[in-house]
Amino acid sequence: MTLDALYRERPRDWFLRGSALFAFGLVLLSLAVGDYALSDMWSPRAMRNLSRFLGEIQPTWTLAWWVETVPLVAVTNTVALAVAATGLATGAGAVLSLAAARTMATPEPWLPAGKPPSMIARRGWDIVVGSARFTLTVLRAIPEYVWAFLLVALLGTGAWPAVLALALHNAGILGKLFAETVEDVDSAAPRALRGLGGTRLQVFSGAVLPTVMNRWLLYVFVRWETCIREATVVGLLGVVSLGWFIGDARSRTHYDEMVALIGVGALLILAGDAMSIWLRAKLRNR
Amino acid sequence: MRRATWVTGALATLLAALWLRLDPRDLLAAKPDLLWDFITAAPRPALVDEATGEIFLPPLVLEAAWATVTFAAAGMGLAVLVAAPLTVLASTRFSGGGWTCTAVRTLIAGMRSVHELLWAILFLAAIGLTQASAVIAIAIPFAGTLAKVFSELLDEAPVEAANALQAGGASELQSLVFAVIPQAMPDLASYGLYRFECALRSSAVLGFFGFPTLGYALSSSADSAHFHELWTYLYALFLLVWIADRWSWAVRRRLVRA
Amino acid sequence: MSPAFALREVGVRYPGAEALRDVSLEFGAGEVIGLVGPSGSGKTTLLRLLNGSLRPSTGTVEAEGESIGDLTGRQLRDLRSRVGFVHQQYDLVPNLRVSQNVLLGRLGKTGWIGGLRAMFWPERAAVEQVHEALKRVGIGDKIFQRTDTLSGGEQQRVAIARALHQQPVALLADEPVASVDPGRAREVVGLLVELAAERGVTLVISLHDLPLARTLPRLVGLRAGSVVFDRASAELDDDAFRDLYA
Repeated sequence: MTLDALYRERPRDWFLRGSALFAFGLVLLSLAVGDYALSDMWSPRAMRNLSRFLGEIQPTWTLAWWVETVPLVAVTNTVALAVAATGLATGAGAVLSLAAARTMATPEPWLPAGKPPSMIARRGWDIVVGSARFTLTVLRAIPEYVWAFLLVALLGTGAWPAVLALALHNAGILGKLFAETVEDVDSAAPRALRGLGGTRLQVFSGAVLPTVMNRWLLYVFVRWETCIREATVVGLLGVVSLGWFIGDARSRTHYDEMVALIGVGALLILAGDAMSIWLRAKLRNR
Repeated sequence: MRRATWVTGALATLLAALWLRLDPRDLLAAKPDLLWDFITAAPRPALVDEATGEIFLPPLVLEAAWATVTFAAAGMGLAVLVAAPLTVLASTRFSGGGWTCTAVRTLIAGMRSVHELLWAILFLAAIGLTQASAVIAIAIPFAGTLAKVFSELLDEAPVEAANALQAGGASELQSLVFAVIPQAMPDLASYGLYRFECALRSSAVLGFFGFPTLGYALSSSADSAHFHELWTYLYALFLLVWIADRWSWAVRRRLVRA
Repeated sequence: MSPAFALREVGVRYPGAEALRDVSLEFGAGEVIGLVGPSGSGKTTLLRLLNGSLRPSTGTVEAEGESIGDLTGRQLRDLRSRVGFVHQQYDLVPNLRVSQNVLLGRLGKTGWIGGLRAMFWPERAAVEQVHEALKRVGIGDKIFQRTDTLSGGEQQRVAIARALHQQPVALLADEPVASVDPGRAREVVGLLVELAAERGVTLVISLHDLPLARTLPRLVGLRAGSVVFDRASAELDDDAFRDLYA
């Protein structure tokens, strides 16, 4: 074939190209058309606000002031929130993943049955998988903050709305990731166990779980890091984490306190990241 | 060791729950009337506003959804722009390690350590309610995360093709740019798409602080107990995130395939 | 006229091992030489010395009469752009098109602009050259396919085309057919020899397949880093090879 003919016939992925163009166009449109002008940031009013603000955050630099202002209980609460939520999310996610993984939630996992499964059995399991996946999608789609907002409206302020909000959203994420790893597992070992007559649960704990454990642990770590960030912020809705104190300082316009608390939050996250890296390194070396 | 980790995790969860004084019975003491109203309003989302019954909602919903999308897109666009040079400097392969690399990595960690909502609050307090502050509030932590993940992807990508180009006379940097980056591109794009989904959610939540995204509508509907309206906006949020999720999945599938 | 490559009492020492010991060889311009020997005998090390990827611990390596050891960074890259290298694992970028992979072979000469053009907007003349090179190695029609959709043997040909696109004065091939079907291996080696003859290019190939190696005019046998023999292959009998691999 001639070069020109080959060039015309070259494989092109129109969907990818279209998507890239769409994404690029959307970004340009958003930056240009959005109802804001970056020049607003340099307007005289903004500059006056800024200089006042910078003046107000001055008192943060004395140690005594820091020790007085920062409530340690807020920090521990934030961490506790994150830990509790991650733990619950992992448990719920694991359970949901079993129902959402197509290799497990079928009439005959990993081994074709002697006789083909009945229509009812297959439809039944399809429904199970479908509902599990739909639940996970819904849980994931709603941001933690929105969950928290709804739960605070329904349950009042307290630790539960925050923990549940974080747990629900992350259960959706972890459930999906867990299900994907279960589906990707090599089928030799589960098949063998199933052939020996193992039940679904036995096959899972004996053959699947050991293989996916490392992956799952990695996912849990990443979500834990995110949970600390979200736990900090969810306090703005009235729960006793760092966010509550930030919101409180903001409403009293004590901006120096607010900035200090935000700084503490940042340090907390940095510490959490560092610890997570250290733990992961230790696990990798074993 | 791994089993020990899981056990420790379970124990930690229990401890945390005790520290927070989480009592399962508290869940039952919730306001049942409110809960009932909320749940029963689900199948009947409002098409007109509940306050006056006069304003037709769908155009408002679309406006809020569009604002959510544009804030997220603008934030991501800015984030990618800022992340590009940071990625190169933070990658040990591209920058050769050394103190610039460490300095940039520290900067990135700092950018990431403040939540986008907190950046927004900072900007709101410092400068006032300008819509640019929402976009920048998203862009800063997202740029940090993109730079961190991108630099790690670039550092871990296979380097044989780059070495082959060097054997043909290319400089090290040239070989890295033209061999490592194309090879890493599917992973870079995939993570970028995931981040965009996150940006959509963050953009929606910024509405709780006064910005005109879906969060604003959610909070005002909930505050006035207009549950039918609330569900309208919740459905809209869900639909938005779901569409983005489906599109992102379709793109990722094609990136991996030959 | 100085030889294309010369090694004078070259030794290469790594911590704890000696890859090459007191090697002295001369390769004339346009010659075809095969390197044979058991794995670990130093074949790859020798090839890497020839394009300046490796510095010798002792002795000198010369290219066209000039010592490589004296070359600066820019001069070294200049040398490498004139010497094509074909690797065992092809080392191509899998998700780029074949044309892009081949065009990138000339990155040393064309620099940043050339690289960017190769990726996004190649010059027509360059693409025509690439097409000719690909036709010459037998896969002209694959020019715009994604590289990872090609078979192993086809990808090796792409790697050869990439090396040829540099318009080199010398071509080095490190076990170029180890990842190729044995049936195709003979074709690929024959192709390399033909191409070298056509363009008057010095060709040094390392092979571990002995019958295949014997099709080359001159063979250098390496064992544990030393040269065991350096002769026309017609003069070598089975004993020589048996000693080499014993």
